[in-house]
Amino acid sequence: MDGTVRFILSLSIGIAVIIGIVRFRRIASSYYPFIYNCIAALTVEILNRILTLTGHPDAFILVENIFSYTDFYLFLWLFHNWGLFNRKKWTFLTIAGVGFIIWFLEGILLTGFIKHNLYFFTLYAFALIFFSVSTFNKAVVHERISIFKNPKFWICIGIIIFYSFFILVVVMSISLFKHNVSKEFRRGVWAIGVYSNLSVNVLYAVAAIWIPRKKSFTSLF
Amino acid sequence: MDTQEKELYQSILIVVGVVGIILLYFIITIIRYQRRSLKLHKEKIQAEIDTLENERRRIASDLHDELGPLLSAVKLQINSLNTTDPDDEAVISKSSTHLDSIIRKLREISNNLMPNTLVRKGLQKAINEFIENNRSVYGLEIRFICEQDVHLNQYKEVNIYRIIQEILHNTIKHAQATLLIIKIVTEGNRLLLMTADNGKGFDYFTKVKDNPGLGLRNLQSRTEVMGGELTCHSEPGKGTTYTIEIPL
Repeated sequence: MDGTVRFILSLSIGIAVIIGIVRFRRIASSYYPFIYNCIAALTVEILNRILTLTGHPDAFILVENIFSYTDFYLFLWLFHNWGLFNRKKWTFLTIAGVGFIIWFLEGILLTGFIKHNLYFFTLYAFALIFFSVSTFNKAVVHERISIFKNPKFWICIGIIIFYSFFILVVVMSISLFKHNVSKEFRRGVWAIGVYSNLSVNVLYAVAAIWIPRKKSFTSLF
Repeated sequence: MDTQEKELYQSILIVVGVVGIILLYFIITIIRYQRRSLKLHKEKIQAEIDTLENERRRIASDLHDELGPLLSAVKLQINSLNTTDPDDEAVISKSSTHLDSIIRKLREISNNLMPNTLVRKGLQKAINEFIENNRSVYGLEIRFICEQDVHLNQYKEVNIYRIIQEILHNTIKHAQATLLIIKIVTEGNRLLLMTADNGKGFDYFTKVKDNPGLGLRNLQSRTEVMGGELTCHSEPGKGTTYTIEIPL
């Protein structure tokens, strides 16, 4: 797949970002991490393009490594806001802390942040899938609004789809790339991620539309 | 890509396709079941509330129309007894007083079960009457604010009335509050019912998680059947605020 096509497809996250920014002041604050995440993803896609065009593709690996933890933290914050950890701040901070230690140790000991933190990628993808499945189940059982108008549903579906394929791609990268495979083959494998990314960006845009309005009731006292 | 890599890549694409199809099937099935379950849940709550209201209406009507006149007739007969014995007179007078309080209590019960004012004069008058009746009894200051005329169908009026009844009872029973404010406003195509007390409050999420209790469940069910949304803000020591949005 051509780099320009890949870049254009990845810009589809911009739809969710635009909707998010336009609605930002009116939406419930519990969804802010989701909007921040979309903005971060768009920034990373643009940086990727700039660094590739300026001949610094290796610097992008560092950006991706930093983004992986940011992505994990922001989604964790979102799940915490949705009450997944029984609204216990300590549980949220502990998970975030453990994630940071793993990310940092892999970066320092194994990759030096100049190669992809593939083990952390796999681990956080699994964690996000588990959190999404739990939230998804909770939403299906307890929430009484139409599931199509429920942003939690769209975000969780997006996470489950994207990170399932992401794990597949990363695991393949870990196992196959040790062998001598051609560049074309590598690009073919990463193209799977590009298409799943595109479908998820569409789901996130739908989610951004359905984010509930902030409850702005005047105090009775 | 050489032939071996091509074959491997094709196999990977097949795996990805299979995983994609399974995920899609899983999602579609869940959506279908959730929609069906939601519909059944709504129908069940609706049926429960309808049965409850019909039963209340029947009991209220039986008490008011059958037992009430009977007791009045008994009172009339007792009062018509002619006796010169002062002891008998005292017994008659006592019985008459007892009968009066039974009739009064009966009216109260009947009115609580299905307020006449709600049926005949509408929601605002019924709430005012209900608040007036409770204000003096429990020593709780209750303010009711409703500046616009609210016109709803009787089904919604009954549900809103029951919600207010439930909130007031919860406040009296658990909140240890001295002030309760109830406000009804219409904004565009929605009606907002807001209540706030200055009581001891509670941890809403822990309460809902552990055991929401019949009162909270009742509020949720009645809001749900009207297609509304219930929001509760409460923290220990900071009072409790309920906001119920009901589509008009």
